[in-house]
Formats: sequence, C-alpha cells, structure tokens
Amino acid sequence: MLTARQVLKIAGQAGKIILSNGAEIYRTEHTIKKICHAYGIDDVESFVTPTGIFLSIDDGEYIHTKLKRVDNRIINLDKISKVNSFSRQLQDDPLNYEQALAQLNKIKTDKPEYNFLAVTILTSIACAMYVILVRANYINFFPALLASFASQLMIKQSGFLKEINYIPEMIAGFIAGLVALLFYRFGGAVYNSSVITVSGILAFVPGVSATNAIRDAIDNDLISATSRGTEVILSSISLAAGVALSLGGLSL
Amino acid sequence: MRIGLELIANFILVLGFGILLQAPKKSLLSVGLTGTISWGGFLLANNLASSVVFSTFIAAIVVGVCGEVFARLNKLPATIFIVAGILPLVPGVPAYYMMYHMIKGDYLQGVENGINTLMIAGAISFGIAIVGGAAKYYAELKKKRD
Repeated sequence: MLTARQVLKIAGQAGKIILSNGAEIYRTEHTIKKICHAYGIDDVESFVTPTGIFLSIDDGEYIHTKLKRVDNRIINLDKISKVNSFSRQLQDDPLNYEQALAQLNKIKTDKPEYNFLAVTILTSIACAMYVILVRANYINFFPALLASFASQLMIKQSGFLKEINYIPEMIAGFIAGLVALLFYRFGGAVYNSSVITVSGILAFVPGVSATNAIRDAIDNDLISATSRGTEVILSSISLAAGVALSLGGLSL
Repeated sequence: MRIGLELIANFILVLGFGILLQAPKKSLLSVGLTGTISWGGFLLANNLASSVVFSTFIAAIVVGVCGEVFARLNKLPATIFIVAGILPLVPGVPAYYMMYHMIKGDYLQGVENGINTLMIAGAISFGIAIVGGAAKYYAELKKKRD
C-alpha cells in the first residue's frame, strides 16, 4: 500500500507529462483522479490550468497538496496516449511506487516517435496536398512543397529565436510568403501566391490549441479556454504579420 | 477522378499532420481515414448547398464523429484524430486575401474576406463543440445505465 505522499507524486508526474504534451484540461484532471482512485484514495480535488496543476488529496488524517508548474508546452500525441493507457493499466493492477515512477520516467524521456527529417519531409508533402484540395492549378504543387519545407527548416536553424514565443510563426509566415512571391514574380501568373503561402504556413496553424480551447470551453474550464483562445489569436496574428512582411515586397 | 484524387490528397494531408503531431504509429491509418471521410462529407455538403461555411460545418461534425468512433475502436484519446482532421478545413485562403487586400488599402474587400474567415472558423468550432457535447452526454447516459 502506498502512502498518500507517494500517490500524490505519481499522479502529479502523470498530470504534468500529459499536460505539457498538449492534452486538454478535462483529460488531465480525469487522469489524476483515475490514478488516485486506483490506489484507493477517493477524496481528490485537482485544479488544472494550461500553466500549472494544483492537486490536493485527503487521506482521512491529513490533507496533502502538490503544485506542479508547466512552463513549456510541446505537442506529442503519442505521450498523451501512453499516459492514458498507463492510467488505465493501473486500475487493473496497481504497480508499486518504484515501478510506477520508472514507467512514467520512461514515457517522459522516450524519444519522439518519428525523427526530425521524416517529420519535415512528410509534413511538406502533406502541406503540398492542400493545393489539390483548394482546386488550384497543380503546377503549384512543387512551390508549395518548397515553401513548407523551407519554413520548417528555417525555424529549425533559427537558433535562439525559436525559443521566443510567437517568433517562429512569424518567421514561417515570412519564408512562405517570400517563396510564393518569388515564384509569382519570376514564374508568371500560373503560380497562385495565396495557395503557395497558405500551404507553406499550414504546418504552423495552431490547430491543437484551437481544438483544446473549444473542448475546454464545453467542459466549463473557462480559464483554460480563454487563455488558449488568446494563444490561438496571437499565433494567427504573428503568422499573418510574417506574411504581411513579405507581401510588402509585392509592390517592388 | 477529381473527387478520388481529392480524397486521397486529404488522406495524405491528415496523415502527414498526424506524423507532425507525433501520433502513435498504430493510429496512423485511422487518422488518414478521418481525413478521407471528412472530405467526403465536405464534398457531399458542398454539392447539396454549395456554401463553404455549411460544408465546413458538416465536415467538422464528421471529423468529430470519426474521432470519437476511432478513439473507442483503437482505445486512444479522441484528440489525436480531431486535431489532425480539422487542419485541412482551416480558412487559410480567405485569411490570406483579407490581409492582401488590407495591405493594398482595399478595406472593403478585406473586411468581406475577414468575415468569411471568421464564419468558417466559427463553423469549425461549432461542429467540434456539438460532437464533444454529444460524446459527453452519451458517456453520462452510459454511466447512468450501468
């Protein structure tokens, strides 16, 4: 049997992993609750925002509280599903403290499912497919692929700039707009600069934040919904600003 | 021919975004299928009503339903399918034209495209929200019955 303190540590760790990899608030709270229930602690309350987890359990004698700060958020759906199956597995057979922590650590430090080169190339091809979907001339396929590839590669190479929030989006918009503009100016009117630009920035559209904002809003997590909505708006504005910077060259 | 090509294109697009977001390997086929089915819904609705906002709304609902169904089939979170599935519906081209016209000083055209963008974005969120609410209701109903 685990002490309340140990259960708190496992639940907090699982919540932090799942939240910092792009899960919704509802899923994080549900996972924490499920883990505590699996270890026989029923009185658990959690308050989760996109930037931190507050967690408190009552073991009948004392109330234990833990606070977890989440300061950088990336998107890795694989880790979410791994923690999800971890919490499901705990209900069938509760692991002991060391095993559970080791398993969580393994999930946390696991390498991404796909490496950078594969992700970049496949995403570029995927973005170029947008040309077919909007029924533009198929000649735009190659420029779109190039725009997407260039913007992703540029962000990878941009050093400290990519650590600053919303700057990568601006760079991506600028590069995509630049590629589109070059094709338009030197290739003629068969190239549709709008479709090329949009394909180029499609990989940076804040789709995860937008979906999470909506799902948080319908689950009544209003703090998270508004802050994620703000994130979506800021990301879109920086993408637009990047494109606008390169569009300035249109009048040259 | 064109429809088939578009369905395949959306399969690859959504699959590629699944890989960008590091979706688990065993879910990739379902992720791609979400794209194909939702684009089928989009084309069907566009054929019936020829309004982009309405078709996007239908496609968003289809994405949500596919997400919930595939989540239960594969025992994975529904987010995986929904996040990748809504990306091709994003109103990129109207948003681009809004900015393009604004920069050129053609504000009326810009505002027209801006409203179009907002309406499409609203249609996507409305579709996702409806399915999310329905899934929650269904789960509660099921819990009550047990």
